[in-house]
Amino acid sequence: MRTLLSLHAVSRSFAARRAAFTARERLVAVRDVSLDIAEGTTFGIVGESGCGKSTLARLALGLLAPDAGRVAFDGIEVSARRDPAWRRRRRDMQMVYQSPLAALNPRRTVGDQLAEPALIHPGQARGSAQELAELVGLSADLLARFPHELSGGQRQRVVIGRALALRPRLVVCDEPVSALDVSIAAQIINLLRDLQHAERLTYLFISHDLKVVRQIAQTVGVMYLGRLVEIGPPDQVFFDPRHPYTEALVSAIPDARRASRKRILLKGDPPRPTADLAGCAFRSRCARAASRCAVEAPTLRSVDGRDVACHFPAPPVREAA
Amino acid sequence: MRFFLTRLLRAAVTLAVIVTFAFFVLRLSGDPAITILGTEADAAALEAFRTAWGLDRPLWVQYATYVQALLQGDFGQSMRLDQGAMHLVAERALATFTLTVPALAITLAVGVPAGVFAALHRGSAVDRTVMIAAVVGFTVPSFIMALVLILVFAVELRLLPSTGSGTWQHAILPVVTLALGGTAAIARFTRSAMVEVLGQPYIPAASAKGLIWPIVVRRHALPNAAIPVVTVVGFMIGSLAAGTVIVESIFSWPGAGRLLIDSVANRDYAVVQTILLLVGLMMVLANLTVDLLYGWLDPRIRTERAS
Amino acid sequence: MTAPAPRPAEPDPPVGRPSEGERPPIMIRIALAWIGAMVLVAFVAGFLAPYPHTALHLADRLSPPLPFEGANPAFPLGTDELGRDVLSRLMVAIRSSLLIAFAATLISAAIGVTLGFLSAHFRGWVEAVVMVLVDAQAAVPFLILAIAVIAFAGNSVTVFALLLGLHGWERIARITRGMALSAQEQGYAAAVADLGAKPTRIYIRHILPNILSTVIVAMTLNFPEIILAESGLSFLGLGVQPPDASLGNLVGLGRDYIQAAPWLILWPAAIIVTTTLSVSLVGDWLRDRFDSTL
Repeated sequence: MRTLLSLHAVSRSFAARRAAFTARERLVAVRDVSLDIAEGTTFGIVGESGCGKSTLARLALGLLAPDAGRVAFDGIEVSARRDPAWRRRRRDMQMVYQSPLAALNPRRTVGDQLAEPALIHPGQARGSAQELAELVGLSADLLARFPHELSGGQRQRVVIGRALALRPRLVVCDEPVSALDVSIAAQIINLLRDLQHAERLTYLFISHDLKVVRQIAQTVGVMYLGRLVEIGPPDQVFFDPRHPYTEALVSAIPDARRASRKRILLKGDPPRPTADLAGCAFRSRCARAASRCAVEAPTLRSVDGRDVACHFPAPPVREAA
Repeated sequence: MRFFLTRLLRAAVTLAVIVTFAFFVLRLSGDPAITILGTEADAAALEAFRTAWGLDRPLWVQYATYVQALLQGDFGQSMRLDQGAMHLVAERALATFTLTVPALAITLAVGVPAGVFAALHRGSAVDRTVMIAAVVGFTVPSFIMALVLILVFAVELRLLPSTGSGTWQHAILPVVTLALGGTAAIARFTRSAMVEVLGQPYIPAASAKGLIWPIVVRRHALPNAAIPVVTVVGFMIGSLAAGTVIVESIFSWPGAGRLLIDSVANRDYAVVQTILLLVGLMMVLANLTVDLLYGWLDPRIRTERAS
Repeated sequence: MTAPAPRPAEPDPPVGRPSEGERPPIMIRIALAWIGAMVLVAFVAGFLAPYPHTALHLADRLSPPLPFEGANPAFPLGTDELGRDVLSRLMVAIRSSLLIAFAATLISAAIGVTLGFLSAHFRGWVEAVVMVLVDAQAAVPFLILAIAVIAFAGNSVTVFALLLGLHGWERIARITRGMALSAQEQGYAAAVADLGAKPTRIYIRHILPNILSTVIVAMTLNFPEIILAESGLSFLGLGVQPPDASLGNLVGLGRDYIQAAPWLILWPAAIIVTTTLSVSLVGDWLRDRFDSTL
């Protein structure tokens, strides 16, 4: 399968002040991330809030320029300069937001907002607002309503419909269901899956919820403090984690198949991701940390069918079947 | 401290913008040689005047010279009266201050107690009077107020002189005119600030501790209500300055406001620029003072800035 | 006189906080009726005025208004020192004062919204420059600035209106910038940008409609101050010049006859006060009803 989106050694940091009157320091939100997404598949990213997932989403779409590394869409470098070429590129890559209410204009009707892409890119968008509403399972009588008159799930359908109006090839979903009830979230996930098959969409799917990611992704990347620490097929990563951080994440999910397994509680908070943070970023919270971890940052290497960035990956888990 | 320095820098930039703006707008507004010497003056005299004042040099050279002199404390010469602009303005400003200082004193001495009283007795006759007076104070411009006062006290009752200066009686009507609008505004702001503070949970809490009401008001309500009121006083410096121009013109008071109008009419650059600069300086200083008072009145702001 | 003072957060007692669809309180209805009457007068002044506003009736100089002794029924509001009909002059003055104030309010809003959007969009040095201008404008009382600039403006009514358009723009710029920044943070503006919309489209079609009600309220509060600035300057003889009439210059011209003919200043003064009062009341009411953030 051909690669649609590829990130190569992408990093991005932000200047921040710890408190008033202290020197600014650079906090690295995304550090040396590389990934490839094959066309028509879903790449899931999981991690705690603050680990750089949303920055990664914005880098992937060219909404934010990387400090280092490159992002390529269909082999062509994605620039973050907001020029006409950038605006044309939006037709290929769209985003679904965490808060659909915030992403919709409070003073325009749903129908207006579904029709907006066609006005921005004349002649390039598909059909009418009605067609889009039908595509995402919204009844046509909602088109005259305002966003605040809709339910959370309906709003997210509007956002998805608007994103698909331009027939994009890549859709980045940044926590698309975290603001929704569980049952509504499942409906939206199903909608996204159906649309993926019908439209041959490629997703970069970001969530803090491992179970949601497992339902939709063919590949999953676990992110910790700006780095991808484990990448592989969801079944392998979630049922047989090798990185200590993934182990801890997975152990937090109640799951009948691993009832016997002990929950791993991480001690302390993540360190501040400053540029001079040496060694493995996870070592301060890691039970297996050794002196080597303080000096040498582990890079991704292949272990049993997935990539792990750890000097001392866990041994295979023997499931009690 | 850093906060204060930032504010100081902003104030300096603000003044620089005012100086620059005044300089160029005035230079574009007409030829002072013709205005001062008259249209019948012969070409040689006009030329001599322009050379004497450096008006024949390129604009940016004039500007550079002006700024350089300004930085050395030289505000330039009045073309019309052949006196130092600063000297002239300072002299007239003294006359202006004899109006504005008493007006501001009356404003505070009457406005603040009236507002506090109105807030403590909401719905009373005093409260309603304060509110009506406040609306009137905003909508009746000072030139109408002045004419009404003249009509009543000078024309009808013949109690006070209508225009001119010299005796203390001459100052009464201008001072009252200047004070009325401000008093109304201060009373209204004090009232709403007090009403808001009295609605805060710490007021009943202080009463519940057994403090008697006057002490609650004095110790808890007034200091907190003072914060928004101080801001308005800062703004009022500006409206007083503007009001002075009108009031001095109506009452023929020889202050800086009339000097401004005369100097604009005569394109007397240095004087207009000096007045604008001083007014701006006054406003900027007033705002800085307000900021400092804030920190003193509200310990929370102080600690936020210090941390 | 018209310093840009912040307004108290608390609404005045007579102005309630009506719920949606309720009829406005009686004071507001009276104020609206007065504003309506003034606008009507402004429109029909040309046809309705009994005489041209410059027509002299030298036999009827300083004739008092009805019902005072010596009044001439042909001049119900009296005549001035040249025997010009006060009623006709008032109508023309209302027209020019309202027209100038209205144009100036629109100009000030246009400047404020544009600069507010520019500083919110570009941030960085553009924002810094705009904020310095805002500071500078706020640091010189408008009347004093206007007096200094007016020599440049000359006697043209158009330039005078443009000059008055500098009144209050800094407040609208501040408000607009703040609201545009919060719109960007809210995400709907960013979401439209992510669709590939051009910045002009985002600001005009998406952000502007969301902030329009606040801007309109701010304009309503700016309008009476502009009327006062216009009449103050014209009163000083620096604004609208004779033989043209404006409410302020009528008061200014009548000032010399305050003893002999007080009606010359009382009529225009009453109209200035009533109109500014009406617009302020409506502005306060609109603010309390639609926008408590101002």
